[in-house]
Amino acid sequence: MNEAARIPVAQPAPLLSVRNLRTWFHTFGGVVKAVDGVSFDVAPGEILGLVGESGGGKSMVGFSIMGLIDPPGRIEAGEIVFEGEDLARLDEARMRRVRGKRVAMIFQDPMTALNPLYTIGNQLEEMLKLHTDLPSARRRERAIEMLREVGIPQPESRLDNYPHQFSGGMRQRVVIAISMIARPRLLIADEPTTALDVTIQAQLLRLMKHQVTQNAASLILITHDLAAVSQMADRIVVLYCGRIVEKGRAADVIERPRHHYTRGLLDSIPHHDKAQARLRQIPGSVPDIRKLPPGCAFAPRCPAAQDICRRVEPELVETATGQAAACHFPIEAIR
Amino acid sequence: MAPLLAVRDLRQRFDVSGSIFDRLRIRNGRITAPRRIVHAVNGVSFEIARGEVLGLVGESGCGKSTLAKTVIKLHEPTGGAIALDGEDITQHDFHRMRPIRKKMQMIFQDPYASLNPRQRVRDIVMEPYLENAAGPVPDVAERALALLAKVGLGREHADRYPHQFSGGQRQRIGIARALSVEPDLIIADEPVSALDVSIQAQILNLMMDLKDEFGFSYLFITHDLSVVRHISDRIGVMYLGFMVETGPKDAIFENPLHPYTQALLAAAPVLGTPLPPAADAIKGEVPSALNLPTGCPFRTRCPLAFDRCAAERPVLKSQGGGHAVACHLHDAGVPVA
Amino acid sequence: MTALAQRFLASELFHNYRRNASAIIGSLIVLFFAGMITIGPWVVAQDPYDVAQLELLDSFKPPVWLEGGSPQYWLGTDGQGRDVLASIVYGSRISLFIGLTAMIGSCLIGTTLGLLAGFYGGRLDSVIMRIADIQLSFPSVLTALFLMSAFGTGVEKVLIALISVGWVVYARTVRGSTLRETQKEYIQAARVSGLPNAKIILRHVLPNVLTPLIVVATIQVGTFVLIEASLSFLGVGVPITKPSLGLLIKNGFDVLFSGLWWISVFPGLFIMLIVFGINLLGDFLRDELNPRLK
Repeated sequence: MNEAARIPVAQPAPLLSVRNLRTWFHTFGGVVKAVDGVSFDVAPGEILGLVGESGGGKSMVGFSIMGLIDPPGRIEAGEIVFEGEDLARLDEARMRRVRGKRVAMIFQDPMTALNPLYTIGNQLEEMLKLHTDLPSARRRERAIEMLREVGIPQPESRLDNYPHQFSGGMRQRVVIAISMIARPRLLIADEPTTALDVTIQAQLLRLMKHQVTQNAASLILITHDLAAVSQMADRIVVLYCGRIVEKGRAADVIERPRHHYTRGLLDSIPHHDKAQARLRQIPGSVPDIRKLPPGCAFAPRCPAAQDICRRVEPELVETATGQAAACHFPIEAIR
Repeated sequence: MAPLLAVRDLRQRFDVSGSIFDRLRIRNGRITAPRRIVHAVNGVSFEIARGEVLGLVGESGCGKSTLAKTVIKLHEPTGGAIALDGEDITQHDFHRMRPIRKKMQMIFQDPYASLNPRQRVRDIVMEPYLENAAGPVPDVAERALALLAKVGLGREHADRYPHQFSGGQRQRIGIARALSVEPDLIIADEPVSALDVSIQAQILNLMMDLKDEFGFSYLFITHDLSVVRHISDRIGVMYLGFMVETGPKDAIFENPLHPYTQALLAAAPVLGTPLPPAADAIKGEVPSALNLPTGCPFRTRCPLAFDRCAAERPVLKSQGGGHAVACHLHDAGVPVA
Repeated sequence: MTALAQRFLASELFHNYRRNASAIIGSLIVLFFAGMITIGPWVVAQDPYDVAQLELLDSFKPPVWLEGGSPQYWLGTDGQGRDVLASIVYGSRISLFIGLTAMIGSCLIGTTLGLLAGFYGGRLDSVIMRIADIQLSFPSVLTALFLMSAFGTGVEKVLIALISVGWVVYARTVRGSTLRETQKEYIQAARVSGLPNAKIILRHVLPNVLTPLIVVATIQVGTFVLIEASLSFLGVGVPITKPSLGLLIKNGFDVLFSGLWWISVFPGLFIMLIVFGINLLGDFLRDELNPRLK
């Protein structure tokens, strides 16, 4: 297929536009630049995968969008434009009206997201009370409807159960129900299935995709699991040491990575459908983010690094297909 | 030749009912004190040959970790037999276990919790060796450095404390510790699941290189199908404390027979493939090990379950080529001892 | 040693210490008392227990800034002509000796019992912790008072009474940490290595349960100084031949309302000061060390 033909002529206005975001933590050991100059867009109805290893800053991007950065952390610079409004400039009171209603977040551990002292019915109806003007009779109906949608059997009776009466997978379903009940425009899911078993993982990913599509919402899926992200996302952003190293359409990034880090990550996954003698590995480990080397942060581990990589930080360069890599010597696709 | 490790009908139960006061219940007007028993491992048998890697897969709560810890006698088995190198160690007490410790070591899951934060690396890696040495060891320092070199750590790392290392490096230290006594069998309990993908590959490669160099065997516990396929010669699939299928890895991956194995393989995400449709997936979640289902443990979630599955518990039956499955749909084979 | 000092100076603990005024004040007070009890006796003019050095003529002298005060006795004298300042220096030694010794004794006993209870669990754990619960259901001063009235006065009896109320807090803290630590995989690794239980406890558990004790031990010295003062004030503490700060208050108490206030008030102020300093330091240590317990 002709590459150019796949690009839509007029891009719709993005739902979320993150521009040059810097979220830094001022600690005793130095400044942790958890997010350092990150820019990306999320289109309406799009699923964006935010990928990287621990320390990559992917969770901090999510927390920054939600306005959940606590001291010693601070958003130093940048814009988070959501439906035309810069969330980075909102005060806490106005941010509270955004959270839950227009942007919702799901965390890795479903237990911390649920209050153990209230029934899940209370917690679902509380979201409706806060963010909609439904009368109380309708609220219970809507809560039951929502539980049924996320696949909880006998929702009428489960409504009066407490979180501890649910298994891990069911709890995460309840969390998804709570986050989607006010019909937010954007859902941020931070490692939503990492704590769960593989058979449950697939169920939940499918459920999230369905919920998001049905409500015409967008999803930012934050995960270290490249395989899961390749199954879910329309576009992928790869982070390393707080900076974007590559972004583009999911199929492009997975099949034709341009950055050596993305390539290394993909290569180090053992192939479940073919056996190999040795895995290709990225040498070394993620550097201390307080003492990043000058130039490209990945240079010390990169097989293609040259002198310039250790001196000059590469810029994100976009190709004709909309795939961008921050690399002086990007991998050229072999066609 | 006798297998290195032979486990027969191993059972492990834990009484979690607590004290008599926690147990008291009033039921139908009568005071009772029911016990709550977790059936963690329910009659599992397998063998590991010298130089072989047996991978055990299963979801959380399937008893794979408990099985590993019972084999190495961190738990006293409730029933069955464990034989290492032909020696029955099931009833061995602390003193009779001492010579066994030199033959069998363990690598742990959590790189942060598995190293004592107050010990220097050189002391951590030499602890099993020194504890089991017959007499004084004059060359402790050289041995420690040699061990660290084997796992890719340098002289400069020997005097540091665990918190000065990354997760991957800590796991290398844990591997060096297991290696110090040059064991015949290493039990690895989810050794890479806490690590980042790129570090996982480093540790898996290291573990395979060491195996090639020293010729020991692995009992490798993991929930990750791609990891287990990469590292194992043979695979055992566990569900709710039962071994439901075992066989050479290619047989398991290319011709899975048990509906649970099939579901597990279907659910695992594969790079660049679409999300599998809901129809392929198994429903619901693992039942509680406090109340095992009658008959087949998997029947509550099995799309193919029929009457017999609730009535009769299937046993592992050989399907030829070392492949065995415990399922009434594959009833023709010969029962495995 | 210098490397250790350098590491301390570069540490986060020291960094935060330098920015924490109450921690600095607390440690200066503690340092002042440390100096006072070590070199104090050579600085003050008089040994208040050497009868030969006492001048009965100088009895009931007010502090130096009041009319009739003498520059020889800065804080005045008592009925026997003893220098109040010298009495405080010697009394502080006794008070702090009792506080520190009782703290060390409590720590040793409590830590041992806590380790055993946490590591072995079962019946041993139940017995130790039930005794601790009973102990905690009475105020420590009351228990100590009861024990002292059974034993009679004496420094060693005060120590026994303080240790028997003081071990509980260590036992409970250590038991909790031991339970948490023994869940961790490095303990399982030690078992797999073939270590006997005694070695596992001493080499692996003990070093990892000590940090929270620093805070407990610091604050306990202050508590013990106060309890001892209360006992001595009530006349069941140290003997008259070894007056602690508490006994000094009692000695001056009879004449307190005849205008001879300095004999009681100055020892009282010093007790307040030392306990205040210890608590400031303890609070700082608690804030610094606790978040790192994970």
